[in-house]
Amino acid sequence: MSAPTAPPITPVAADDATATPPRKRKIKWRYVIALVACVGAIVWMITSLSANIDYLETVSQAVHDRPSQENRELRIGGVVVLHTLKETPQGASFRLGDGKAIVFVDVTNIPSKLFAECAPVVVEGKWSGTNFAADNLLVKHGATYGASNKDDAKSVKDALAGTGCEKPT
Amino acid sequence: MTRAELGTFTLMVGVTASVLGIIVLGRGIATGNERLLRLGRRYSTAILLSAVAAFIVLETALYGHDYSIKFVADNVANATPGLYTFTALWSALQGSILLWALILGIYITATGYAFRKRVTDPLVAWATIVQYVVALFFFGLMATIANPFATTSGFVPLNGQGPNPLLQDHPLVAFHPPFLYAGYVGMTIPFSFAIAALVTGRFGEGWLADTRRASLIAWGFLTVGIILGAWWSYEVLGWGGYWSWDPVENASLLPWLTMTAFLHSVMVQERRGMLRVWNLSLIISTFALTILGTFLTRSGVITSVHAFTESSIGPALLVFFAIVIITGLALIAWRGDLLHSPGRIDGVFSRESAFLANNLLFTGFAFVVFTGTVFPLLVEALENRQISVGSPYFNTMTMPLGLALLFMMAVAPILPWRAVSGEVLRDRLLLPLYVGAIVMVLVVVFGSAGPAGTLAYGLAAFAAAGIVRNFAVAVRARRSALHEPVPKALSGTVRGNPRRWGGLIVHLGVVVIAVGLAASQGSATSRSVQLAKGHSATVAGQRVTYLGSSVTQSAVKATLHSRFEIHDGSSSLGTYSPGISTYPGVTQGIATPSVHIGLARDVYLSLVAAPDDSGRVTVQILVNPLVSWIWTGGLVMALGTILCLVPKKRSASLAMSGAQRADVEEPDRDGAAPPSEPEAIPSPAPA
Repeated sequence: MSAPTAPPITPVAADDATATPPRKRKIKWRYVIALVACVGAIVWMITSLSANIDYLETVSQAVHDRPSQENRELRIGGVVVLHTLKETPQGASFRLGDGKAIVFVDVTNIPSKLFAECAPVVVEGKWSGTNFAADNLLVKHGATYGASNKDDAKSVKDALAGTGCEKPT
Repeated sequence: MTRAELGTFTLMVGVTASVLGIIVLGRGIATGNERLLRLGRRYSTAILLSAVAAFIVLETALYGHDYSIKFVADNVANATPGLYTFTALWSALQGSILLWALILGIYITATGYAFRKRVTDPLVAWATIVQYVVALFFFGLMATIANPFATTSGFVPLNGQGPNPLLQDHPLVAFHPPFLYAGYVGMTIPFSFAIAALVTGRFGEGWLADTRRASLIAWGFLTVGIILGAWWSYEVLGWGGYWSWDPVENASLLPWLTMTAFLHSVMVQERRGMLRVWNLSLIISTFALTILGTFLTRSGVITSVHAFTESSIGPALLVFFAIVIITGLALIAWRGDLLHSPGRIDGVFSRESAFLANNLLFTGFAFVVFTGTVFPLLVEALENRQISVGSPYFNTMTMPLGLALLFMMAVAPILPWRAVSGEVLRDRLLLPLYVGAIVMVLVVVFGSAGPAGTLAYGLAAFAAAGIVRNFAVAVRARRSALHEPVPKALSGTVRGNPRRWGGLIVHLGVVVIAVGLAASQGSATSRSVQLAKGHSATVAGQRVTYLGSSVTQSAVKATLHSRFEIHDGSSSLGTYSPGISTYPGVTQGIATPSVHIGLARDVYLSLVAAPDDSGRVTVQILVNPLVSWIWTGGLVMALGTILCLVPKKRSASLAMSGAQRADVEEPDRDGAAPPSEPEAIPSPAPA
């Protein structure tokens, strides 16, 4: 009675013993989960990275790109134009120039680092109409610091054009 | 011979000694000539002496105001104070490379001394060759494109420019760079042994144990160097913070992360022989990252408070970085078959899988920081536009990793090797879990830390309770076995396995730092106020009263000091005088903050503007909770590291029965199970 049922059982048992599909699948799942986690982490990282990119531009670049960067966090580097620095209740206002263009900057929450007219600075913030509303200001090293070769010295000189600071300090 | 010629001569001696050392050792290895191998080691002394000589020549030039040397003319002035004349040596590019070479000389000589009985071992000889190659690279840089003894062109000035004002404003500048360099340069030693192991094909775990000490020393210096840097930034830059994800800060953090990963995963290799390729990769990456950090700081590719002036050594460093990476990868690929690890991880809840998770977190952390640091460089190279990655990227990405690491720090040290039963896990974790949960409830009820902050405090308490419990259990076991009083039992326990207990103390330091970070990031208060004389402002319960201002004039700078008295409630915390200094020829004023350091909170005063026409001064008042915990945690980490370096005392095994001893595998190199702690004995692997 049992003889006819025996043959179909044997191949199934053999399959189980040699190929062990369930275990194989288990290992695969582990890798799939790890892969998904890795891909997820990398996607998250790239998203976070692209959301936090601040462009550093010269004044003339920033003025040129302003229409496309109305709501973007931006850093602008330039020189504080002579006789334009004023204290305001929230911080300071001044004109920032790079030899080709000048922009009006309103800084709030200024850091406890002094800066003076003709100082090379980087302002961080957003456009507010044609003014730049900065919520942070970084003072770069003095213009003489770093201008160790002729090209640098020339670019420093060019950047000072029209700011009233042309005379070497 | 002028001083400049003498200096350049000492550098040439360094170059020659490195080249001769490489040739002699190379021939010694090729011919098996022991006399050559012994001779080859001696060149390390010559390298050290030439670096010491160059250092002395440059220091005497700095103190002697020898402005015929360009480096001196650029970096000191007649009026520069003594301390900052000394530190001027590492205040600019060429001198900093000299400091690098000097520290490298010390490391190479010390390693040579430590291995003096094994000079004829090809592994040691190969490692020494690698160290000489690194020395040759740095001496070569100085002898060619970054010579600190280059002479001034044209007429010799009567006065020099003086160091960058920021580098002559606080004595920490004497400590932060040397510590950091001692960390960076020390990575050369494990790197050299890793390369030597790959070249000789000797992957027995011996070389790891041999270089463990050097790795730990370098790691300890790097840790302290990074924390001193944060402290310097806090005390000098005046913005009230200590870490801004500046590319150069990141450059120091990257090798720290990979080395920390290595110090953990190396235990898996020592214990189970696994993760060989991984460990070699970590060591090679660590060294490569130190070179990358040097490149970032010294090539002018980034704008940063740390960046040296633009120079031509960037390409040289980049080429060296590429050589390190390519050599490392090629050697690992070549030895691939030999590197296959014999063991495998048995259980998910085991010490080795915890180390694996820890390593994934650390390398993930490093990857996040690396991407954020290097991405702007890639964009600039490809698109020719300057961008920077804002700190929100780093904060959001690293916070979950940091929290996960805190969690691992709480759990991993109590997991035994191979596998653990649920009962043991419950027994060891329950108490710390309760403590963590209670702290979280307290924070939610009484504090306002936000979800991440609450989690951070909870995990910190969880980890701290786990560490304290570890100590308590071990001391109790020893007391009941040997009937010793508590202090003696504690010192006996620690001396029985300094590496384990030192490691746990380092963890405790990390917990303290984590609490400091969570508190100071989460609930700092900042306000900028204008005050007339005698008036006061209250920020976060701290009353600051303006007392008056005065100006002091020295040959170097003019400083305006404004005095403020700080009151916490009715009790006075003293008078503090933040200042603004102006240096001749520098357009920017340098604000020197003044900080009342307290256990619970710092009151940080930074002058924004000098008194106006009506006598009102503008001051930024920051109340930063628990910032001092960060420096304290750093000190605890340093002490823990020193403890890890103490040799193990053998007599502690008295407390253990023969049967217990049989259960412990390899008690000698056991990073986990001190004989006197019964519960750390691994439970048998499941059948």
